Amino acid sequence: MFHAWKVSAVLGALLAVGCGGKDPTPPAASAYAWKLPAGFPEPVVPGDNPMSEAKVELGRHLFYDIRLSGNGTQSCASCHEQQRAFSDGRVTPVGATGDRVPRNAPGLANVAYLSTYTWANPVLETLEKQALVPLFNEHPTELGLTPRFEEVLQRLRDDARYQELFRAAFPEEAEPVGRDTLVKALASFQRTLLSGEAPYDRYLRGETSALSPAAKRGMELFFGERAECYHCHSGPHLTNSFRVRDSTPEELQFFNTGLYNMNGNGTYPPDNPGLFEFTRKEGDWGRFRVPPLRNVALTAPYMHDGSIATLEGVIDHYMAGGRNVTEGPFSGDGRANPNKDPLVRPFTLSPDERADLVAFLESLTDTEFIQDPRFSNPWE
Amino acid sequence: MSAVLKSASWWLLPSLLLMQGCGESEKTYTVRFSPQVREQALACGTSYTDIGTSRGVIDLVDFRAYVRDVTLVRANGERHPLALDQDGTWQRDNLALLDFVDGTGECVAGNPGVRAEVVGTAPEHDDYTALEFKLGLPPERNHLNGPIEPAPLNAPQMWWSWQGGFKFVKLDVRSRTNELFYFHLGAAGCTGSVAEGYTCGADNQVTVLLNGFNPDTNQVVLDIAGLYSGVDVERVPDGVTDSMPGCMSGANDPECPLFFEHFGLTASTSGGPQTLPATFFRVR
Ligand code: HEC
Ligand code: HEC
Repeated sequence: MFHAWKVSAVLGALLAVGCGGKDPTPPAASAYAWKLPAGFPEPVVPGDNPMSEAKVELGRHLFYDIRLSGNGTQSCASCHEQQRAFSDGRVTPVGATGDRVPRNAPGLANVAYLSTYTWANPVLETLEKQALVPLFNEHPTELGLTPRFEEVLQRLRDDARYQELFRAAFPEEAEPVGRDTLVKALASFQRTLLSGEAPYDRYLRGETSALSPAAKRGMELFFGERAECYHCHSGPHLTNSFRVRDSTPEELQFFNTGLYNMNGNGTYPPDNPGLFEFTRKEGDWGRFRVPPLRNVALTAPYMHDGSIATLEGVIDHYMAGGRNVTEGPFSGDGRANPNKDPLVRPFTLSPDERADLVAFLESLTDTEFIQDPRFSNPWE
Repeated sequence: MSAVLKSASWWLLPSLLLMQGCGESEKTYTVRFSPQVREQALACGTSYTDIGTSRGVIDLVDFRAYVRDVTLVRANGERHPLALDQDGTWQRDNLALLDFVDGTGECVAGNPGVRAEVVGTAPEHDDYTALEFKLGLPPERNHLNGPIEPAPLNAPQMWWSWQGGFKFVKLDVRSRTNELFYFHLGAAGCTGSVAEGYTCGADNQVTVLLNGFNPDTNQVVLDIAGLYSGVDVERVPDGVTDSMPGCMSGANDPECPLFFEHFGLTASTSGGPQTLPATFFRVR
């Protein structure tokens, strides 16, 4: 029993290395030098948006540019800050025109490998499609391009630096400044946000001293049969939402972790229905994609609605087998949510073990990633 | 045949007139749409009173819709789909965009270009007595899959990236209590991918059949007082049972059924066609 975690962790690591190592990419695809962290396989890239240095550079400029919002007040980086592993530290963010966004802004480390994007949307299967949401959505408005799209494009066209960047990135386009080139460049930049230098990565590469004894004990708990975390937080980025180039798509899995149970019938707050919003099946209320846990110590607060402030709080939630909301409009016993996954059930950790599990989650922090100048604001 | 006739019509005209009796000649028909509040024209920059269950006051903010398969029906039941003018802006193939906001008043997202008609050709007959059209895009075309599509699908207001498709009808108004009170009709509850195709919990396909419609003299009234008759435009969502003012085709939104009944749709099911009440759509 005790070796189970080791087998799965090591297997996961070997698999990751295997994918990257033995599958040499055809010349056309390898024209782009990925600079993948050791053991990372090549991510999926849509056929109509091959990677290029020029697109990545353009995407980085756009990601940090407040002119890419209708009223010129926000950029992607307003909610995705590098020093927080591209999350924002807020429970839920506020968009450019003051709209409250109902979900917590996730970090963006290794987003290239996720099967679907955002907390529970099964339709957003590429970063290109995802980018349309903050750019154009109107409820809630995030960057608010919709009412002033032509004006925003003109702003970019008028800028000499962008003229060069767009021409270099999309040399074949007669009019390179447009919706498609914007989202293609943003997606290309985000595919380079690779985080693989955390103590945990070094440990997987054989540097046994990279993890503190506490973190190692926490890892055993994480991959063990008492806490059961690894069933859902599996694979190299600790989520089952994972794909690589040439991998066959797996069935998407979303889980209810018992955060709410508003009427005793499984309901979550109405602006956060989870997968139910898309499938309209009662059993899908409160089901969310398993979030990746890399750099998780930097991305507080936690869960789809930012409703748990600390990692300790998240562990307490799992130890209780869900959350009993005792007051307020969303009260109800989440522990009894009929849609809750059976793996979310009460278990006991001693205070030391709980601290060990936190130490493991902290060992997923990659300080190089948050300081890497390639991902920083190019306008500064 | 019809293309030849069209391009050559200036010199064929006399013979066309002769052929009319055989039903061979094509004529340009304009199907006009009239957004209204009861008998009053609906326009940007005007406030309208006595709307919905709370008899609220509203201002128009945005109103656009896609219509397709616009078809004239003769007294004998014969159906003639309009061959739409391919104008490069409003109409393409069998699809047309209607845009009722001119950028004045609260209609900040609008621009001076407005469009309240669908123009196309059909065989000339003097006994067209009904009009049929569909709203929005058919399931097989309703996905923002790749590069931006040509006009009229290039209107960002109508992109619905969250649902992976387009809005079919977008009607936003301001009330005294809600800065925006939304009505967005579109296919919702969609899952799938480009590779495998999509299925939607509610395709929300609407077919509108209006009897007593003569294209030369009648117009299609879109009466938003009728559309809002069952809802309270001043109701501020409590965040517990309802998270947004109005309806965006969500399955669990309490206001959606109150809107959907005017389209013959039910909010929670797959959106099959039903009989339409003459509340929102009617003939003038
Ligand atoms: C107002 C804050 C805000 C802005 C601005 C913003 N985002 Fe986000 N972002 C979020 C939130 C909140 C989510 C989660 C949304 C959800 O799950 O529904 C998110 C999710 C994402 C995701 C999905 C990550 C994952 O784990 O699936 C990506 C990728 C992303 N944003 C990229 C961008 C890009 C690119 C931009 C600029 C074009 C941008 N964001 C602008 C708040 C913001
Ligand atoms: C049944 C699958 C499942 C199991 C088992 C599970 N998780 Fe999760 N985890 C999820 C899902 C789904 C979410 C998002 C839930 C939400 O926001 O509603 C999540 C969220 C989290 C988050 C918040 C991440 C963020 O960015 O906000 C952390 C941390 C976390 N889990 C750690 C753990 C730990 C530690 C364990 C073991 C004690 C564990 N999980 C067990 C599925 C699971």
